Amino acid sequence: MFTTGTKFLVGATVVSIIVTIVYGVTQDGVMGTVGLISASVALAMVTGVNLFTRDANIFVDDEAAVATCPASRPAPGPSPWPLLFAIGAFAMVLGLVTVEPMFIIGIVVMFAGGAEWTAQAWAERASSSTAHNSEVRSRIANPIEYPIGGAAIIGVIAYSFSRIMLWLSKINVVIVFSVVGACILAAAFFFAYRPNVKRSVMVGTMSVAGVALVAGGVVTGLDGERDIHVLETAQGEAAAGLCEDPEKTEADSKAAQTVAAQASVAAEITLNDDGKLTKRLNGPAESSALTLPRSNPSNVLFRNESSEKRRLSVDLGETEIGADSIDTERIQVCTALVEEGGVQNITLNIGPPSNSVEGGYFFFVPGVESAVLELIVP
Amino acid sequence: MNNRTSMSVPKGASTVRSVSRRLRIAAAVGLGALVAGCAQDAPQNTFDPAGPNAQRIQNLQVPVFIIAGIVGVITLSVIAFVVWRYRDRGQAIPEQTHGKPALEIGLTILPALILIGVAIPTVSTVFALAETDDTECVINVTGQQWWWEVDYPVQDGCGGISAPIVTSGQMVLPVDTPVLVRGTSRDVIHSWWIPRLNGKRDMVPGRVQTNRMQADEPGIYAGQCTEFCGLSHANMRMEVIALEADDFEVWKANQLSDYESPTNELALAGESTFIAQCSRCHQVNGLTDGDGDPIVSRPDLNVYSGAAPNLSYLMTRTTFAGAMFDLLTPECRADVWEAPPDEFGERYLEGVTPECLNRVQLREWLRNSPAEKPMYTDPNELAATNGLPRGMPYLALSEGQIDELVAYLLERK
Amino acid sequence: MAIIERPTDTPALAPSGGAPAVTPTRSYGYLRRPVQTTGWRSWAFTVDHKKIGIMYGVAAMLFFVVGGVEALFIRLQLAGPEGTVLSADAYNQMFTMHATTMVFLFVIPMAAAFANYMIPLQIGARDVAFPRLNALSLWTFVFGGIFLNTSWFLGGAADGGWFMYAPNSAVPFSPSNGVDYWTLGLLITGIASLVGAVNLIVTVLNMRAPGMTMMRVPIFTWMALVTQFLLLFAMPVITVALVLLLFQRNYDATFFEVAEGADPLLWQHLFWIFGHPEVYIIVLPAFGIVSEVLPVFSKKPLFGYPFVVFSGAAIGFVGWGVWAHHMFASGLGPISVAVFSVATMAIAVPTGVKIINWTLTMWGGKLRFTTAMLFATGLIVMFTIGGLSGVTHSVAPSDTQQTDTYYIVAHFHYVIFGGAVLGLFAGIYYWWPKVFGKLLNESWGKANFWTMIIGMNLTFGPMHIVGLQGQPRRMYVWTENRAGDGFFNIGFWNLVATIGSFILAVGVLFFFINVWVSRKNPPAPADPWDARSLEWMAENPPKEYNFERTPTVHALDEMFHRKYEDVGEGDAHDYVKVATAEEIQAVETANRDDHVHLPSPSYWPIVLSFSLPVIAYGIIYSTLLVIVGLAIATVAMFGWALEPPTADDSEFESPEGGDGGEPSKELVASV
Repeated sequence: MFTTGTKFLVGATVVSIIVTIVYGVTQDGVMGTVGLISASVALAMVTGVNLFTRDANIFVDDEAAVATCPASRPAPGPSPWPLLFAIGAFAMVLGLVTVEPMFIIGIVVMFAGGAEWTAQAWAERASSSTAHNSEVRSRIANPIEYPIGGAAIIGVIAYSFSRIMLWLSKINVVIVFSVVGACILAAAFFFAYRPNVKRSVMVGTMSVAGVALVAGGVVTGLDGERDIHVLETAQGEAAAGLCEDPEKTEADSKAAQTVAAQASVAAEITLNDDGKLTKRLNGPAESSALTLPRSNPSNVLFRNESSEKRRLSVDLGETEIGADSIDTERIQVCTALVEEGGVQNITLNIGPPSNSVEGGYFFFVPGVESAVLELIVP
Repeated sequence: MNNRTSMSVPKGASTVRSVSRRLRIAAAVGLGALVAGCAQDAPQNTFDPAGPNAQRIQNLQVPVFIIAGIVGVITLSVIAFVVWRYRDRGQAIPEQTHGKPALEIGLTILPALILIGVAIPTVSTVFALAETDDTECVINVTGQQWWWEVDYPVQDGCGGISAPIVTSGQMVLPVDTPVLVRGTSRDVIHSWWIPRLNGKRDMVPGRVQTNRMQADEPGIYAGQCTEFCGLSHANMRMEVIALEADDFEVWKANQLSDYESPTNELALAGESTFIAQCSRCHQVNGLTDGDGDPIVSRPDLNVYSGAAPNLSYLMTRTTFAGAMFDLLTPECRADVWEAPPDEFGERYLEGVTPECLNRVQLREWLRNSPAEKPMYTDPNELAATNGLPRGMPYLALSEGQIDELVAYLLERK
Repeated sequence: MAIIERPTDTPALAPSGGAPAVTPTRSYGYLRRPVQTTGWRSWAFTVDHKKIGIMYGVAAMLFFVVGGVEALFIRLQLAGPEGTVLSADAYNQMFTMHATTMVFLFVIPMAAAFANYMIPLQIGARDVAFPRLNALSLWTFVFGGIFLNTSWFLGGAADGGWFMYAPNSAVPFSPSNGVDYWTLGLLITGIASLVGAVNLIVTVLNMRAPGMTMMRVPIFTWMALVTQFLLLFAMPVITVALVLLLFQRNYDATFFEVAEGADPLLWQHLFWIFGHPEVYIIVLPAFGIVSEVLPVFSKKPLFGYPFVVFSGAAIGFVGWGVWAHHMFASGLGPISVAVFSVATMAIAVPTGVKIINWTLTMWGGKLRFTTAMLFATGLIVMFTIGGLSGVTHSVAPSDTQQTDTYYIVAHFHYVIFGGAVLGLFAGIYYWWPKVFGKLLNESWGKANFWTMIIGMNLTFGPMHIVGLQGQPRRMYVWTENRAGDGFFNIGFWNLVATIGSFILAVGVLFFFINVWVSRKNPPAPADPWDARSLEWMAENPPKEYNFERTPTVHALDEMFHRKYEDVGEGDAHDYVKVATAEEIQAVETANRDDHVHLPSPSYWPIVLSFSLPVIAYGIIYSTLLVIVGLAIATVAMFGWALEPPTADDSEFESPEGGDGGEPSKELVASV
């Protein structure tokens, strides 16, 4: 009925209580008594838990099972979790002296290994049937294992893949992506049409692919990303006061903003080789001026057909600044510098009509005197 | 198609129309016999084209309705026959046939052939109506909750326009001239639809859309915003006014004429009331402040959608508040709407005279506009728009101020 | 639940040699499962596809009434010029919610009700593939629908139209929480549809009875299968759109904001890529129902069964290529418009095939016009009209005159009311004895049909006229100035439509009266209609485990061929009844299966469903509530994952008797 452990704990509790009483009666000083009382309480609680759980032997009711306990209980199976736990502990300590991520990874691995270890150990004691024990383990652990494991795998794949893709050059990205995609598709077809293919072949293929992906991710991740252009927005240019500057800053010519805007442009303005600005919009040619509706965002595409990098700027007249309204400032917005043959979008949303400022509004290209186009806002 | 010959056969066209009407009703409702309908149809009748673009659609949809009607009559007759002929009269259990593939395939090919016949003219019409290069005049429209702004860019077309013209609610165009409407929207999607002149076109913010307009005869052509645009969608109307070329020149000249100072005391008081109360949003061209500086309205700072109707020549239009209300009394309105084509231009150019002014409605509007037209103007409910109203807010004008404003506005023509 | 272990002659396998292994008596980690067979708990926690089907139907009918009342308000407002029944704001909410309710909370769930109930019976299965998922989709739909409608009482419902075009759906243009309720409510009901679709697809593909090849599957199940595939691919698209809108409204995203460089047409494309297949999701189940009803009451097989199947599948495919015909006026450019215009005409062909097949099914038949048959015939006529008016606006230039006018309203009500709703009513009358064991009253049924048909034509017929006379949709008032006079004047026909709508409402009321007066009808015979498909081999109503013995299928229209034999010689046909349904059922009972295991009821589907509206309220009002909802969801998911498929023996209520004192574990609930 009582296992050795139980006997030990019950005995220890009894002894500690006796010692406490003896010490408390014979000796002065509170500290020692309190210490011994604490020890007694702690031992009593452990004993209580032990008695309640019957030393973790849930079939203690079952006389036959108890009698045959050591024989009927299968030996614990091999387990990877102690190893994983140890690796985690090692990584954690290593992380303390090296880099922080290593420390965090160590803790996570240790926690995962420990949790799995606990679950397995608990399940192995559930009954004497190995099959049932393994089912109990699955039932408890799988609902946590599958989502977390799945998320971890997806995370690793996505991260490794993105590292590789960001490391490759722009052109190679497309090639690699197509080739790898085609390979995956071909492999999937192969396996789908050969259901009898050996499991080991499949597992082998997947493992090789997985290892290659992770290894590639690590290597390319350490090597860093390719150079990526930073998109300059028109607002940024204006804020920097660059609208009259024919040289500074450059933007990615295939900036997403430009591509999206091509679907909904109010007008297209081209800087021609002869240094003239021409406009193009639907319908018959109007006069030389461009009319845009008032207080409404309008997309204007700027196409640079000249042989130098240029930007399109808009002059919206002067405004008074400062409390005493003495100083004035020209309001200007502009695109980033556009490479030869490149296209940029500028979104204009103009409140006051053009006849409210002296000289009206006009488009211009810094550095090209002749390139001016009147902008009318009714 | 876009010359007058096709239009000079209204008799023939109307015969086709009434046939199509019969068929569409027969197909649709099953009301067999019906009156040939000499009474007046609704002004937005989609089967009453008044210009080559709508006529092109008419030429396509009339045969389609006829075909649909014929197919419908045949199908429904067959069903009626089957229902009557094979009702249970104690006959034996019929043969358990699972079908006759030949018949089946035949009956599949037949509708396919009919549809191919419909598809070919459809495609050609789609491309014809999308043409923009052959137009001779450009007019911009901009939708906003819940009215249309119409502006005429500076151009050589339309007989030459030297400075931008801005009006609202009514688009004036010369007859027999292919006009290109270029439209967009300041807030949500609206749709420009003048049924007698062309099909509708959504005006999408951020996009510039085109719609061909051409009228064969002077007259007023009703339209309505047809893309649901929020609270007062039902009240967002518009009209196209077609004028003979010389009348159009008169109209244009007037729209570019100089500011006329008020001529009487009441109106003069109205001018200062207008400057104090209205000019934040509503532009009146040529209006100046005490220093002689032009007053530029800033609706972009005061209204969420960023604009308000230009009132410089309000009384040359016959409607206000997004064409929801008439500026004319019902009798005077009928005079304009029912004017014969040759007298129409003259009556329209007369504008709103003091006798014809729909004072009751205009005063109601000035007294409490949100009560007249559902809009978002309650200051307590404008958190989502940073306190800016959508529509004209309640201005708490006194009766005296309203008198002054009406007098002032009456001279804006 | 049902666990049937009938005593067998062979003794149970003795454990093989050695000392018997010690086996556990309990599993770990789950609550006692609800095993009640009566009372509300037997419904709330059920996983039985039949109970779920019935609850789907009841909930859908409730929403049908809600949507119908909304429609009556709309018609009252438009009865005369400058209507004052509703304010502009209330009207906009009314038409938004009318469409949303009818599409998402009535037609889809009602079709799901039929699919849930009938598919396992029609394919000879005992339940759907994933019974607990089935319960999940039911309760998710119910809670989603309730959530959506609570917006009426919490600051106003959505007011942007069921199409919810951007940017009108953005916060500045629709500042109330209505659009948020709409977005979240549809996301929730979308989960229900998606889960249901996966479940039913797997059921049809994997659980057919022996001998039932795909070309022997009853036509309703076929059409329902196509519908589920459409749902499976359409729902993710609207989900993406709704999530974009949700983020735009609640988390400062700018997917549709023009000033940030976005294009509002993105929403329209996403919405209609979902929205057009949605049309077929709505009508295909009804097509399946009439394709069942017409042959039964014509005493003939469906004419051209393979053509109907393949035209259904063709509609399912081509339906994906026509979405932009909802956008002919939105400025796509002539090439897109031309392509989509032609594609739209192309889809008329398979649709026309169906009408031809139905007519030819009746041709040469022996037609009995029961109420179900009347509704089915009504569907053919009304859908033909709706289909032909559809052809008129597949012609894109013509559509630019008609789109967004009442002509379109007329068209799609002829298609959806005339096509889907009449079909669903045909199904209700046809399968009522199957589901409830009693026939509905035929006199009331006919009154129901004729009032509905007259009401429907008076309501939607005149809309053709007012639409072609230029009255746009979604206007809270119309004005005398634009009404015209004479025969086609808008005023008169609007009034007629309003009167018609009330006649239609009376017709629907007759249905509920019929249900009430039929509640005490005597039990229906086993085969009241002399039907043809497999579900009539089960009892009325079916036992919880559906079939006494898993049927073996030899032919399309299996039931007919078991009842009738062709004794004619050569080309002459003479069908003689060789067995009644009762006799066929008796044979099945005599050879019943010995082992029937059905899954036990579960608490978790309804708990998991309940967490979704909690999260949704949380998104609108408080992050705290989101956390509570997520906690409920987590608990429910783990509870679900941990519980075994059937409850332990010890959890069952005491056995209700047994066979002659045998120690039977027959724990069959009476439905």
